[in-house]
Amino acid sequence: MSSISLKNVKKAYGKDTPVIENLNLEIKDGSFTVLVGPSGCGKSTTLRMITGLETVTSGDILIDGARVNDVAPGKRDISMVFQNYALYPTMTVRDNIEFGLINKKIPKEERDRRIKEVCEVVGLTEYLDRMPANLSGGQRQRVALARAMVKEPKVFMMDEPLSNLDAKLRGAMRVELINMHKKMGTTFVYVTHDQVEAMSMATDIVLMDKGKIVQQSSPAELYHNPNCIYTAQFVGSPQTNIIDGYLKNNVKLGFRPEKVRLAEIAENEGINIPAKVATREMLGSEIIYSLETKFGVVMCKTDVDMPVDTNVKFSVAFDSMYLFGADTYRIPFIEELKKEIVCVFR
Amino acid sequence: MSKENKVEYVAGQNEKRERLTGFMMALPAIVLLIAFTVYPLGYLFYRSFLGGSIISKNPKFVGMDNYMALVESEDFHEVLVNTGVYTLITVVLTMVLSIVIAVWLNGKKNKKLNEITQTFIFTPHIISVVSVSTLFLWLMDSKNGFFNAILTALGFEPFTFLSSPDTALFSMSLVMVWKGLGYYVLLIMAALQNIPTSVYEAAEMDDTPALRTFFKITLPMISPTILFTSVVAVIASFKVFDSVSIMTGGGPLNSTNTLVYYIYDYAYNYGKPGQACAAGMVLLFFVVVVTYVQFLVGKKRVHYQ
Repeated sequence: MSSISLKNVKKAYGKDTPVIENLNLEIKDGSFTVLVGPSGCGKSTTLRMITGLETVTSGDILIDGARVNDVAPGKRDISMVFQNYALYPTMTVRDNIEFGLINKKIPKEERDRRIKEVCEVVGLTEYLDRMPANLSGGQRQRVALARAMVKEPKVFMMDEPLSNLDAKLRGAMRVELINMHKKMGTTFVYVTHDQVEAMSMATDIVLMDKGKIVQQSSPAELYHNPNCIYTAQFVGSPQTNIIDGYLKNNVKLGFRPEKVRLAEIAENEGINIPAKVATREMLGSEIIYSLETKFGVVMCKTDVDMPVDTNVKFSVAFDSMYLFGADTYRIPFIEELKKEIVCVFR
Repeated sequence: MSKENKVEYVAGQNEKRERLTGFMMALPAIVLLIAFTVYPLGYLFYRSFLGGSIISKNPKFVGMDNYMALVESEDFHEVLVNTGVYTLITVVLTMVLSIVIAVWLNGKKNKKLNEITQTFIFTPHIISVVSVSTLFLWLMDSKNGFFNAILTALGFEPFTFLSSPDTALFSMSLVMVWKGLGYYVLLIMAALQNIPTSVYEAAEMDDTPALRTFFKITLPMISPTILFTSVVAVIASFKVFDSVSIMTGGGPLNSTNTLVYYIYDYAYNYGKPGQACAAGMVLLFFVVVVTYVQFLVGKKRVHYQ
């Protein structure tokens, strides 16, 4: 159990422009923190700097308040699960799991006890004598997890550990990881580009873009209260509708497709816009429509079934709207803007 | 039913044609292999049972006489021991040095220096054995050689190198190790570069000491290449000839006479092709046995992915 903090961390490769300019991040003790963002946003680099596999150009990394910049990766009491598992291909499953324990000079009986325990948790007991090459992707993933767990570390690092698995297995592993975190109570730091993984597992999401933290909050907060257009559009599928160019001072109106209702509401509660159904995607429990309006295309997610080309009037309530300023950051919803919106969108 | 049969029949004909095409394509290689490998091998075996000289028209069948002559010849025993010792020294030195140098060159530090070293270490490989041997013949000359000039200048006793039976074989091995090293370093470096970085990172996260990383991760992961290079190195040293011929001619006192040089000597200097062919069969036997043993050991020890 431990907390991690990054203070004014900068990372540059050679003389190139830095990938991370000035990063300040607090990872709470016992949290399941997910670093999420598009590829190249610096999330993996951040993770690797915490592990020590990557050096810090300037700034400090603290684990439990102690500066670890100059501590070797193996001495930071951190375990890591790699994207491609990085198992030792020449060793059996048992040797893979035991390797780190032998380095730590843990006595034989203790090693055996821990291996037995861990293998029961991840379901590897019958595969202990196999070579990694003779295991399926899911089983290799489990070996990687077991190898990380058996060291009983203070912090658990995972770099896109599920991206090499098929969709079904990924779903199952998500649940297992949540359970593991609950049982172990250790701090988890998890890197992914997949918003679904981030939303479903995290207690704390750190959304990154271009080497900067855009928003750090709980998944619910991130969904309900995005602080900028980037966040609003990153979480949720289809992404948040943004209507730009109709309000004064370059103010943009945003609302989620699932908040679009296909029924009229009173003028003091929201706006009503006439539209025509352009496309229809049947997903089973719900249907995604793209609606053509005079303000551009609006995405809508609902369980109402209707054919293409239907003329509808949809509504969006004021409390489902986000307003963003010219700099794309959220601005407060003042009475004046409400009046303007009612006047413009009708 | 009949329709099904017809389909099968057509497929069968296609298959026949495909087989024929395949055979035709392999034919040139097969012909060359028969003419230059299978036939000479068969002839070697056959000739080892005949007596006569290299110009005899109809050499007499002598049975096992040639082999018996080898068994009774003390010179030949010495030759076998020399070949064994030479192989042992050359292969062990080559393998150990090339692994150490390859691991060092593959390191991340001193990139520029590594590149220069790599070029220098590979250069001897592209020079012909004849040139190298001639060069070292002078460098190692016991009276006017360069090495001894340095040794005496530094206040040491001059070393005998090729002129004493005690040191000649070893000196010759060193030359051949120097010559072959670059090639083996190159092969092992290629294998090292195939090890994924993440495996080393995992080892780093596991707090693995450098030596343990080398023995438990690096060595097992390049073991297929080590097996291959050691087989190649063993066979190459069994067949050493040019350097013996130029540097020592098998001397002094038969101390650097090796199997292939012995074969050459008997065929062309002593005019006993039968005995030379018998010695050739012995060489073949040893190469087969040693290679087979190496692969047997490899099966247990070598990790193939």
